[in-house]
Amino acid sequence: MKMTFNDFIKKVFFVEIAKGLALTMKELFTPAVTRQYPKEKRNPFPGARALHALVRSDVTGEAKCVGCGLCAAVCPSKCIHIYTTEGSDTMKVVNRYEIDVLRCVFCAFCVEACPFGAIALTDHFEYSGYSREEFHYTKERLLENWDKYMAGDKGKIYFERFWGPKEKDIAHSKPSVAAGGGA
Amino acid sequence: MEPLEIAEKLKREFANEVVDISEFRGQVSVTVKRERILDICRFLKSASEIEMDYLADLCGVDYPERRFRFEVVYNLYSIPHRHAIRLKALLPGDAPTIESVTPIWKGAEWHEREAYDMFGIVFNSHPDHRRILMPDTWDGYPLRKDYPLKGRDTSDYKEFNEAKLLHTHDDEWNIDSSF
Amino acid sequence: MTIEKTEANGRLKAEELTLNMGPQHPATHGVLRLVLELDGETVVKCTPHIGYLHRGVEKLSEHSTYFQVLPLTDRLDYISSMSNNIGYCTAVERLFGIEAPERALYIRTMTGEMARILSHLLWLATHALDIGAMTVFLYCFREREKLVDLFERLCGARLTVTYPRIGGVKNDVTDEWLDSLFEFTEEFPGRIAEYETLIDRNRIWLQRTKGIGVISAEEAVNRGLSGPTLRGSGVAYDVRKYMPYGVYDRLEWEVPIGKNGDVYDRYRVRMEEFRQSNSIIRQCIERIPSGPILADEPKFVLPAKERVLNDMEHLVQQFILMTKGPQTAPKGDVYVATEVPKGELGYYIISDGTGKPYRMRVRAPSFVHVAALPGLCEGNLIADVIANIGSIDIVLGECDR
Repeated sequence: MKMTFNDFIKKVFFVEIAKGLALTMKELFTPAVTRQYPKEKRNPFPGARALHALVRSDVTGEAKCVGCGLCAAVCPSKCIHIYTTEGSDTMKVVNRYEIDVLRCVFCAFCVEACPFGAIALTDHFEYSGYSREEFHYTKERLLENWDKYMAGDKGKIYFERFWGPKEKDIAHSKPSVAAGGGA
Repeated sequence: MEPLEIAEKLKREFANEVVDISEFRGQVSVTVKRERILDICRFLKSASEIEMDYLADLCGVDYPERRFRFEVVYNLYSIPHRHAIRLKALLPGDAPTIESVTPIWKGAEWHEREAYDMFGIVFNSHPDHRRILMPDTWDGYPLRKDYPLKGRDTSDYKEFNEAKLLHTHDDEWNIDSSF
Repeated sequence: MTIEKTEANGRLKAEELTLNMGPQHPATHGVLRLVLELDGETVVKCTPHIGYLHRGVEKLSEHSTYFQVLPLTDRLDYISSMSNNIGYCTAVERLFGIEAPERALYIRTMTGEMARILSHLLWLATHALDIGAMTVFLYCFREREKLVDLFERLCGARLTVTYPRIGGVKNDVTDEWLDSLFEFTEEFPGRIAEYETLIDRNRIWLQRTKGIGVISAEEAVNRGLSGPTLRGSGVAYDVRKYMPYGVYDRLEWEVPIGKNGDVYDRYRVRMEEFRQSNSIIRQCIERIPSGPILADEPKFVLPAKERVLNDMEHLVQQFILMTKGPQTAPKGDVYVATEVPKGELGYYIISDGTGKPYRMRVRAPSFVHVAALPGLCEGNLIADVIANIGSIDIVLGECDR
């Protein structure tokens, strides 16, 4: 096979392998991009979808959830269980609100479906346990999650930026009748 | 060529076989009887101006309340001419058999195996007619409308029972395998 | 029972060895079982067995509303989940007869190309790792980390994003996010050049990939291959050019094709697709218009959260869409194909007028490519099986559904 002198030099002196080795040698002296987890941790970005929390209302101090059941209806993996009864003043009382976190796929449809903004997905992802029962989160533990992981302004920012379609997101070609005319 | 023109041409060529032509969102479906499906597909593949050389998809559909319970749907595309058409072959529920189109498009082989596996549609002269996604010894056809979503209680899959046998001594030996 | 070791004329008896490349194997990129019958080192027969990751997506979709099917489609090709979602939303929008607004189409195109880069990076990393070039693996994952961080900032999840919605996308992109993405596209061509320095001219790589797994153009079309696997054989079929969706028909980009149809050409096609995807993302960032991101279709799209608690009509709309699905879906069927990184992903959806699809068929490219694997492997050496599996770029999640 005819080979030019150039090709011959490249073949005998392993030129392309040397170029590859030069690249890896250069990378040897650049700072490493790996992070030594768990010694160095990065905070997840706001809006990360991890452990659930039931929102505590600022006004009443109780959960905002009224038990409408939209989150349970829309959940693709059927991991939310809600049990309600009628209270003394004919208002709905949420007796049990349970989320089976191990079944959850963290799609955040429950957040999008809730009309009241009563459930949120915090960015806390480092939870682990020794049994399957402890991942069956009850209403009290979910409210605790809200106090622990969405304290202060974090909750407000979450609902401003990551909750459902907002007015500005939807195209309005026709003036909306329900808003009394005008876009 | 417009998809409706292809459908018309097919109807002229196979007047007895074509049952219905319908259009929805710009996509044309031609419903045919299953007897001469090989001739129809050969015509569509080799006729000049049509040349459907690419079988995009082959699947089965189950309509339990119809007289012809099953349908085999062929989604065809032509790379040189950039047009598409859909063929639907009608199959009765009690003996759903149809000729395999693997001699025409080799890619149909696995799609037909999946239609057999999921619906029980038998493809005559298929080179490798067996189940593909479910285990080989499975009993039942999962995508039929009368097959329940969570599977049947009667053990279709004998190995589930064998897995339960593994847990008979759990209490004695203090093993925690709660689900 | 004595085993005959010699034949009648005194020579040693030789048989074919049946080797099980079992479902758990690092080179099969998923749970794929290959039963190989070997004569020495030559593969005489290769039988793939799939179904180890079958989760019943098609059956589940018959019992879920159109909205609830979206996370199921995420998990088909879990490496580039954004592209499966985009394909599903495009198909359902065509079925319902609605259109997403301009900005949403630009965002979908951008994120679809990001998913393409992600998938090709993983393909390059694992393909090179299987053949023996281990450095490329870590370099590719460095780039993947940056893109996956961008996804996390956008929608909260790194892998299974569930970001597009029927009628648009879930939330808007911010200018800071677009700036970070632009920075990524500035440095990415340098990285592609790095990967090529490491393997493109390397004599070991050339010997392992040139002339291996050749498939001719007619046979590839006959077997239904698509994507870079088909384009390596010289057929310029790309769904983004033939049946455009999104904004692909308004941008300037090319389809790379190969010549010989061997593993090396498929590798070159995907390396060129890196550059084309990079260019598409840059054009989208420059041209993205401002505007809404969800269509004005109250029958199919959720209402704004400010209105839900104030108007009865919007509250009812929210309830019906979330519990029962779109009640005014038209009856009919569509087949819509989109170009995912692996090939042509087709959704054939039949609607019967209720809020749940009557039948959703997912035409997965990996399914068709695994079917073509015996044709590539038989008659060649066993080491080429690994190169072939890498070059057809399969993901078993998509293959088994």
